[in-house]
Amino acid sequence: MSSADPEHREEEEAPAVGDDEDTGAHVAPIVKLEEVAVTTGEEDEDAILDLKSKLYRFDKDGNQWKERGAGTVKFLKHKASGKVRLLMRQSKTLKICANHLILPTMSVQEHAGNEKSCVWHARDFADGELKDELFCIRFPSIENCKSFMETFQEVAETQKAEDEKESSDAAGLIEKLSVEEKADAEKKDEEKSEDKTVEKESASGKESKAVEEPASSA
Amino acid sequence: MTEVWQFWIWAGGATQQSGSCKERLTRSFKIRNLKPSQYKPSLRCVLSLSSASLSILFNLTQHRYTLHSMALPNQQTVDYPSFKLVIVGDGGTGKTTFVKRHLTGEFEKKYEPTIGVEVHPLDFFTNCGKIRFYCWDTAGQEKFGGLRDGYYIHGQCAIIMFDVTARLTYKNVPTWHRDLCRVCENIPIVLCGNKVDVKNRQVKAKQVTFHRKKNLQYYEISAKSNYNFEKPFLYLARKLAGDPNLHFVESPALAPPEVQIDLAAQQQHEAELLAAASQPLPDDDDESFE
Repeated sequence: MSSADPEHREEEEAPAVGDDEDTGAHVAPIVKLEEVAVTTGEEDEDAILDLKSKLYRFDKDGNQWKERGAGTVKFLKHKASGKVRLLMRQSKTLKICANHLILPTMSVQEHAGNEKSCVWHARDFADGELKDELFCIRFPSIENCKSFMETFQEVAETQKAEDEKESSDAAGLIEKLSVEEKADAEKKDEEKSEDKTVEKESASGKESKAVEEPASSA
Repeated sequence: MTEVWQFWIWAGGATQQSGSCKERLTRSFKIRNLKPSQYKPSLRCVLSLSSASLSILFNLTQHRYTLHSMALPNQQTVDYPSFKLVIVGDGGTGKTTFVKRHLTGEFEKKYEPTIGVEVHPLDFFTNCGKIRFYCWDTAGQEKFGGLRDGYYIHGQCAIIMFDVTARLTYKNVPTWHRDLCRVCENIPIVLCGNKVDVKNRQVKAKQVTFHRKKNLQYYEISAKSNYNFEKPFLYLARKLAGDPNLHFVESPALAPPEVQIDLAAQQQHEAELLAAASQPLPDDDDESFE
């Protein structure tokens, strides 16, 4: 430990200096890019949990966990609909590792033999299409893992309560209708973006199949 | 959606290969056992060449779109800026592992030499919109080099990878740089010293000086710990756009659609989850969290 520290410091100092310095040659830019407004997709949501973590997905073919990314995991509650989703982004590149709703039927359990990790199943939308995934998430501390699990369970139960309330609450019919109208509007927006995504994917899928056939025949 | 183009080119006539013609054909048609992962290859072309057809193929590489239309029929024109990024360096330095880390998040421990080239599109969201790098991950081992520097043609940026735990890979950097610059003039190049997570490194940071002589940018990286793993792409993007303030921003997170609950499927998932929960995680617990 004592011998590692100075070495570590030395290594850290050198890159820090190098990082700021641009030793590359001057090259003429080949594209001109204009600044654009950034839409994260989280504008209408409140974060109710935000933790550093590392995410894994279970690879059934290889029967093993594989890393999906390291970054921050958030529970985001939609301001209008009250629905909560889990969103995880990778550090630095800010790409999406996981993106799925927390449903009433969901539950999270401990990863065997590891108090800092827990596992759950979800239909994930990270790549813009729904995929069944088994996830495992690991935290820097046991406390953070407990916090995640407790929040997960609370959200799932809250969603269940809200579902039941919606079905039984006749007195709030008018209010319910207005909420549904908003939900419908949101669904339409979602469907539009989904349709575009699906079209692109189906197009590429078709081309992919067409391409692979001659290869197999050869 | 991750798309992969892969093709093997075996220049049977161009090199002094041992074995009969039949054996060479057999080897050229060997299909690598790709490890299952999040992405799957959408195209595999296996081309076996005699020396006579080599010149024809080299002519084809002069016509970029002809090559694309033949070898990469699945490639689509995207409506945002895209760049051909060539990745070179000795075998085993971590070129493929680095690319895969970005594509799927996985860290591939097993070494499997790349044959010829593998092309992976890699997207990033920046404050100036979405951009794409077509990563031409080339063979580092000479015997699997295929067209070798033929893959560099029309490269718009490059990464030269060496391994800080293997001195020879740094000694060979000048050769890779020379071959690259013969084909690609005046493109931004990043030199990467990989595996800086390993304690017993052979090439110290202070010993790396080649980048200053040749006006390359240098980053110490670790595909394993993700240290500086975004820096090469960010640097190249800034150079290509001529914008030193360009930075990565959040990918847009679409709202997940409603999911219909199937009780039978749910029970199966719970059983699978129980089995999966007993499998160990692939990396050490005491790794640092960024």
